Formats: sequence, C-alpha cells, structure tokens
Amino acid sequence: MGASGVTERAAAGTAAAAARAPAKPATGGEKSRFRSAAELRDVLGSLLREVDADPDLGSRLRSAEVPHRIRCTDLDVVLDVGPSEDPDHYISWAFDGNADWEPALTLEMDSAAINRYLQGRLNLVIAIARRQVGFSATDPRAALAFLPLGGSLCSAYRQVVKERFAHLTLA
Amino acid sequence: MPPDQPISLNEASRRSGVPATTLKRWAEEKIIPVRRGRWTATAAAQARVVARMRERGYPLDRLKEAGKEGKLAFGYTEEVFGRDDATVGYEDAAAETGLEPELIERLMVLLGTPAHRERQLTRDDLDALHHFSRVLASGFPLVAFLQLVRVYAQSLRRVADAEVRLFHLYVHEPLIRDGVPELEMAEEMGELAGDMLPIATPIFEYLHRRYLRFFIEQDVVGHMESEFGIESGELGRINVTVCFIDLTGFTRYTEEEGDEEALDLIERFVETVESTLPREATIVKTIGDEVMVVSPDPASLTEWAVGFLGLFQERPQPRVGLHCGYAVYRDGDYFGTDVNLAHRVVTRALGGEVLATDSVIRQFGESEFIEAEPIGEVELKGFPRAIPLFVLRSRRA
Repeated sequence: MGASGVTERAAAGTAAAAARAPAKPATGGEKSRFRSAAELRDVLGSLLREVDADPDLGSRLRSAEVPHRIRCTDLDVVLDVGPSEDPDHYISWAFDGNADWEPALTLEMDSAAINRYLQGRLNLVIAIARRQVGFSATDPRAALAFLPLGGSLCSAYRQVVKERFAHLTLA
Repeated sequence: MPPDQPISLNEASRRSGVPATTLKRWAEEKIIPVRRGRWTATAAAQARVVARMRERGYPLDRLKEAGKEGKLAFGYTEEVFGRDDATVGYEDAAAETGLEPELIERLMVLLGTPAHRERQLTRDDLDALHHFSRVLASGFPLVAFLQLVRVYAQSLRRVADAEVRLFHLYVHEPLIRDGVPELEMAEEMGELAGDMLPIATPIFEYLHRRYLRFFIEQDVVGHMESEFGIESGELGRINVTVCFIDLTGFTRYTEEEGDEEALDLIERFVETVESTLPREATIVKTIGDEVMVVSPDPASLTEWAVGFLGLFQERPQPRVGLHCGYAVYRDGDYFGTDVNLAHRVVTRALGGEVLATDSVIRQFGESEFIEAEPIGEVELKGFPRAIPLFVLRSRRA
C-alpha cells in the first residue's frame, strides 16, 4: 500500500528541505503538486493537527460522526479520519490502512485533486460527475453530514500550505 | 429605563391599558408578579398580555397558573424595543415624506402592519418612510422598489420568526422546565435578549454586504455572457436553467424514522445542496424536502445534479428535474411556464435519476462527462404537447 521505506525516507528528506526553504508560491497549476507520498502525509497530518487543535472545527468534525477515508490514487496513500474517543482530542487519524475503524464514506482522487479540493478550487460533486473523484458511502446520511464540512477545512489547509508548503499554493 | 425599574401604578395602567383598580386586584391575587407592591415595566407588559388573553376568553385561574410557570414572562422585550406608540396618520406622513398616501398604504401593507395599528404610523414607521422616499427620489423605479420592499419584509419576517421560536425553544422552555421563578426568569431572558438582539443588526449588515458583493459579481458575469452573444429576454425575463431536486420516499421515511429524524435529514439535505452547488447557482427556495435552484450555466448545474445524485446509493434517494428557458424574476422568485415545466419534469423522475428536457441537451451540447439517454416524448400535466425527456448520467470511464 505505502511507498517503500527508502522512497519514503527520501521523500521525507525532500519534504523537510521544502519546509526549510523560503516560501514561494507556485506560478501555475502544473507545479502545484505534492513531491511525494511522504509530503502528502506530512501536509495532511499538519492539517489534521490544526483541525484537532481548533475547538470549533475539531468539534464539528467529531460531532458529524462520519469516519471517512481518502484514498490518493497516484501516490498510493490512504488516510482514515474519525471521531476521537480520547477526551483530549476531537479527531483521530491513521495512514495506510492502520485505522481500527471502518469508514462510512470513501473518497478516491489523485493528489492534484486533493490539493485543489482542500484549497476550495475543486467542486467535489462536479468532480464525482466527471469521475475525477470516486465516492462511496454506506449510508446516505454520511454524505449529508460530511460534505458541508469540506469547505470549512479550506482555510486551515491554505494556512498550512502558505506557512510550510508554498509550492502547493494554487495561483 | 431598565425593565425592573419601579414605575407608578398609573404608569403601569397606561402602559398595559388596564385600569389601575384591576391591576391592584391582579397583583393581590398574584396573577401579575409585583414585588412589595412595586410595579415595573416587566409587570406592566405581563398585565397587557393577561388583558389580551382575557379578551380571548381565558379564565383568570389559568392565566395565574401560566404566569406562575413563567409562560407570560416576556417583559424583557420592553427594554429591548422600547415603547412604540402610534403618532401620525397617513395624510400627515404623506405631507412629511412627500410620498402619496396611497403609496404609503401600499408600502405598509407590504410591510405587514399589525391590524390594531391600521392607518396609524409610529416614529419608526415614519423614519422608514423617509428612507423609502429617498430611494425613490434617487430614481430607482417604483415597480422594482415595491418588489424589493416585499422581499425585505418576507425575508426579515422569517428571520424574526426564527429568532423568537428558537429563543422560546432553547431559552424560555428550559427555564420553565427548570422551575425558575417568573421574575427571575424575566430578568434572565431580558439580560440575554438585551445582549443578543443588538448584535443582529451588524450581522445583517455583514451578510447583506457579503451577498450583495457575490450577486453583483454574478450580474457582471451575466452581462459579459450577453455581450458574447447569449440571447437575452424581455425586461424582467431571464434565461436560466431551473433545477428542482427532492427526496423520493420522504413520506415513508418520516413514518418509519419519526418527525425529528426526518426534519434533521431535510436540514442536512438542504445544507448539503447549498454547500456543494457550483458558485454561479443559487437556491431560490425550499419547500419541505424540495429545493429549487437556478443557474445561468446549464453545464455546471447539470454536472452538479449528476454528481449530487451519485452521493446517494441508498434510500432515501433524491431525484432531479432540469429545464432551460425564460423565467420572470419577481419578488426574489422565478415564475413562468418554463419554471412550471421544470417542476413537472422532477415529478416524472425516479429516485436517483436526473431527468432533463431537450432544452437542456441543446444548451448543454456535447459533453465529455455526461451522457444523455432519450426516453421519448412524455406527456406532462398542463402542457399541450409532449416533451422530449432525457436521463442524464456520468459517462463510463
């Protein structure tokens, strides 16, 4: 499922170097890409830590009670997010199938679509119609609980990207 | 003046419209809460409600019970809104504002004047009429202005209704359930209302600016498209794609899951429609489980409809009817044969199905992502000729 250990370590090094480098926004959509699976995990992990620390966003995501999975088709990364049972956290998450819960909703898309979606530049529903995003849910109510929350992640994501991963910023 | 500030018995009588002797008797019989014989604005407000309820035939012992339970504790509104005594008639208002008395009457009907204040205007009414007069003097057409006033009134009536109902359900009722003494309850609600209601105005202003900016941008885009050759209709008629979407099997769902669960589903459904629509599309209205959406762009609305239905793989499933045509825009709503046709189309769709007329297919053209399967010409109630309909779905990868 995940990239090989060597690739991951190399990718982590690239991501760390990118994080140290001065922030420069990408000039076009083509360049606004994740450099590796490790960087994707790093960015998503940073986003989820921000969400978990935000009482408003974190509690909304937890109270939606929709364990969901995002499968990145080109970088072969799987992210599971669900409500946390730990009272000190709103949400918990795990990469690459290590979650001990089953998702109620699964989204499948490539890393470019993830980046566009989380920056509010991809209409998820239209992307589903165009088969650019795969969607499945065990219960229609899961979609109704999850989709309105998607937009609220955007400002946290844009902040993470602006501060640490400027090459992912969409022009 | 704070609502718990003492006032004289005569003042309480004037405010409540109840004779002083009756007020004294109601206080002695503890129908109105009066601490150590000291009347307050809150107590006078409650007396006014008791008097109204008496006029409607409610016995005093029931009103006393209701008062004890805090059900009449609404005196907090006295402080929030202040007194609103009638001051002038329409003729005087016309002379002061320069508006015709007939126009004032028409405006007040649009605003929904309370019946007991017929043809009497308060200072607030008069201030509003001055604003109206200035708008008309600036050259805004009367026909458009009257529509705008109606939309303002309808929208804000809904807002005020929701505020009062939610305050009642989530503040007043819990206090009643907790058995909070009525004076304490009135004070507590007064404080909360006093803190909360003044915040509503800046929130309205913020939202108004925000939506105004959005719709001005939309309007500019619309003009640009007209410039590029998209035909425009007559004055007041707009070329739009109309979409109706509702939940099939909702009545059965309500029976099986109960009213609360069904209401929760509807709220989430409408919220999801709203949060996922393409930027240029707008919800016009919701009627129960049905949502009406319009958009200047048939392609994005059609793709949205197909994608949205893809979210629901199990019951209750939505269905969609789409049609492109001209609609008359009036009072914030869209009317006309083409709107009616779109509505007829959705009633012919099955759960999980996007059904569209040939007008959508013509506007939409050949799509890389959506395929249209013709299902033939279908008779629709109220339309003299059969309409070619198509089922739309995503193209296979």
